[in-house]
Amino acid sequence: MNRPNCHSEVAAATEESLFILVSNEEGGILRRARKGRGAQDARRAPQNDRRRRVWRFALLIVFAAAWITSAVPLFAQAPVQTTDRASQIGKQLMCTCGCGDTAGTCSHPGAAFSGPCDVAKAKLKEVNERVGRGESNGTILQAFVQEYGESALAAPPARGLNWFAYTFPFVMFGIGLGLVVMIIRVWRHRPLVPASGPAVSAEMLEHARRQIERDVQDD
Amino acid sequence: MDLFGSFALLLAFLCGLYAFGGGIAAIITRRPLLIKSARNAGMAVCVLIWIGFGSLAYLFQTDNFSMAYVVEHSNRTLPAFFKFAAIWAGQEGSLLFWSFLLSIYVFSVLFAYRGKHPELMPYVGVVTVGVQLFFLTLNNFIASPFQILGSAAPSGAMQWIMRGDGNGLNPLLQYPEMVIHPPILYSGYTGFTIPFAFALGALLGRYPGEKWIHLTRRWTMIAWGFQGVGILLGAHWAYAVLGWGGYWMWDPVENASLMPWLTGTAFLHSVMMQEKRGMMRVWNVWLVFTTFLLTIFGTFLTRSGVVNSVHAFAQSKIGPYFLGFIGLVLLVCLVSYWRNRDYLRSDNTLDSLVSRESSFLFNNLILLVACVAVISGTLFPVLSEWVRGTKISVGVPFFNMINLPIALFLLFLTGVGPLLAWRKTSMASLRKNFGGPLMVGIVAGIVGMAMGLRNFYVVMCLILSVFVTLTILLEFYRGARVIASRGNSNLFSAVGQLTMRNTRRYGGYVVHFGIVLIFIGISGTAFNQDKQAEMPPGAQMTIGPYRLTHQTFDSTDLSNYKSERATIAVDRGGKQIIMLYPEKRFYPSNQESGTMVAIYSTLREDLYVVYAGHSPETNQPVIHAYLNPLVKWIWFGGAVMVLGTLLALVPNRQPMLALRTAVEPARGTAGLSPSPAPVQRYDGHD
Repeated sequence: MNRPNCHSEVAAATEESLFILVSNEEGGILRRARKGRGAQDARRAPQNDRRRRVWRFALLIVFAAAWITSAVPLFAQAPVQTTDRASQIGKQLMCTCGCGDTAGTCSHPGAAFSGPCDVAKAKLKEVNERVGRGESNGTILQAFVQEYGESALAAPPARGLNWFAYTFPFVMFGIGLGLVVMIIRVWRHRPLVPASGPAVSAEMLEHARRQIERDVQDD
Repeated sequence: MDLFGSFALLLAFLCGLYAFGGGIAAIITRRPLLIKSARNAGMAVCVLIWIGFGSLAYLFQTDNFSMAYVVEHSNRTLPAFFKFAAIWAGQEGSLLFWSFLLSIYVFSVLFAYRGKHPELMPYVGVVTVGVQLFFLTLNNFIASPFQILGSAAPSGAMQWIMRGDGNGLNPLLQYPEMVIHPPILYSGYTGFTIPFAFALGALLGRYPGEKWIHLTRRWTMIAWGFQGVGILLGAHWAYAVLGWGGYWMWDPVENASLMPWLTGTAFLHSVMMQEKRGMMRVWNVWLVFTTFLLTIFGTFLTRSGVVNSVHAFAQSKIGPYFLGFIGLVLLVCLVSYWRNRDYLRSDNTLDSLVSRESSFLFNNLILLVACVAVISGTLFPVLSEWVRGTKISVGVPFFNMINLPIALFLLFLTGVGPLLAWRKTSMASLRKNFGGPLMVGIVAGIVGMAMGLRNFYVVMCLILSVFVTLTILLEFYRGARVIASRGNSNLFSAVGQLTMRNTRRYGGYVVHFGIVLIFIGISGTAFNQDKQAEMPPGAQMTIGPYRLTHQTFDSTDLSNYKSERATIAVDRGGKQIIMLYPEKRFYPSNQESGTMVAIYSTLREDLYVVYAGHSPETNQPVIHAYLNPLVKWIWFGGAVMVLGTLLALVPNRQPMLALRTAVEPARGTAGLSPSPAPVQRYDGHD
């Protein structure tokens, strides 16, 4: 019954890298602003100052908005933002943390947090990115097979021995159908055994007819 | 009390050995006293098992923490209700519980048929005691629930230990449904032992005619009904407790419970051919054997660790014993069949391809193919690893892909089969019975497509559901109309009379209608939606037509667990409709958590809200909302199936009439030979 909870540092690392990205972006803006102060571009200084003010104002708005939404949240923040297509693909990929669920349905009922674990989140994120790059479903699934092996897929790819799993029930159905048809043909052509014993009286026949009529009507 | 229980089980084992050996001797010698003695010993085995089970229940209720099994699965603060359920929470207790339920069946059979069927019952007694002996071997020597905690004293001698408290029950099992789901499912599993014992007994004893079928019909239906309800309760437990938004994930343990149900369903249908026409004797005997073997195989899957499963018990060394038992039973069945195959010879003749008999053959074929599909999918990862050394996953998409077409074909046969006449059905009858329902079904499918349904399976399910429902309704209508016209009663009371005249037939139709409702419910899966978001108090989320507002968040500390609960206001179209309280519980005794899902259920859809806990990244509460259309239809369909099964178990109010050939000329009609036979009574079936 134990299902491992495997929330690792992946998401934290992702957040950290996003923070670095934002820092670099800010650094870039500052560098551009410093360049704008050069003597050779003195004529452009008022323009640059205006641009800088616009940037600062925009950043201020963004931070203010972030602060307000975090303090008084109006709309929920989704931990894993995926498109419908990515979610569907996620349901075809196993979450390899050992929970036995797919990445799209991963939940850990016995764990402190019963949402998708970090393994599932990382997979969904990758799927989302690949969907964003315009890759087809087949290409995305194949990429996961190459990375994790065939166990990455919730349904084994239809090749090699796996064909057995896909075709076996239908082969059995075919064989069974053939047998049923054969049995029916044999049974239909089996000669009826003539009734032994004395002939049936007219009275009994009439009684039987009435009984059959009653039975048929009642049923 | 621990020694008392352990002693009772050991005595039951010894009594079982006597009942088994004595039963065989009684069959050989035909001595009435020995037959009676073996039967009484068999009944004593059952009583001793009850005592053993009662002892374990007592140990749980009295918090006897000197017992390893009690320590492992209970604690002082566990409510008495769950202390009872804790009996079957682990391997050892669940095996004793299996023995306990089996003993109820065995005792009932031995008691009900005491002094009757002297040619058959000794065999039945030997087979049932043989099965009990296997489980008693496990209960006594392999997985005893009465093991005492001990440690080595400095002197080297073992001394008993009494722990202050236990580890507690798995939180996933602390749910009221878990108290009734395992007993009902196990009642299904163990119940199939009875038809198996009668079939094997009749074969070994070459018991004449179809009597064993008549004797076991109700036992089979009871076991089948329990198995079906157990499966549905398990699905409902998974839905309401596991918190992943679904009810069936083709988990190996779920599959293990489905397999015997499928073959049992096939048997319930094909047995009618044997009763009505004396056909398919070999087939029916093997269906019963297979069903029983699958119940043992399912138990093997659950307990051996061969396949990974969320429900499975901890891996143990118990697997080889089950495999050995399966092998032994199979061998006994094969040898018995081979030695007595001439006894099963039947006069199989068929008048037409389009007949009730043919439809049963196809029905059996489809049910067995469905069973094969489930078995092959469940075991394929093991096969793949064995052959190629590569581990693969066989999950929900695979099973859905394989089983959906099979299931729809079965649904089609559910509509067609009952309306075909025995022996031969004419084209005119086909047109009359199926023309209208089929046309209405197709029109419903077209309307569905016009309304936006695009999924092929959903459209097919809609067409077939309408078709099957109409054929069932027409059957009731036609019969009731005849009765109403004869008896000057209204149509509704005529439906009641009709049903009570042939409960098995009309109960069967009610079961079929329940199946239709379940199919409709399952088809809703194609439109499932879900959304997960961090929702601190005040946050909102929209899913489908519903807007969820997280109002407050509270936590409580109870004796058995700590709870964190979100209060979610749900409104639709600006109007508040309900408050939901999804909850997360933490059980300090075993350091595990559990989810209490909040569900707003309507016939149209379920709004299923899970409080997943605090996000590990932001520490904000996370709410996972699902919109699952038509789920309620599944549970409603299950209830209808239970109703139909119960109806089919009720004896006919007006017995069916049948002509039997008179053995001797009736008094006063010496001139007529043979005379019109006296109309004899027998239980109706169709």
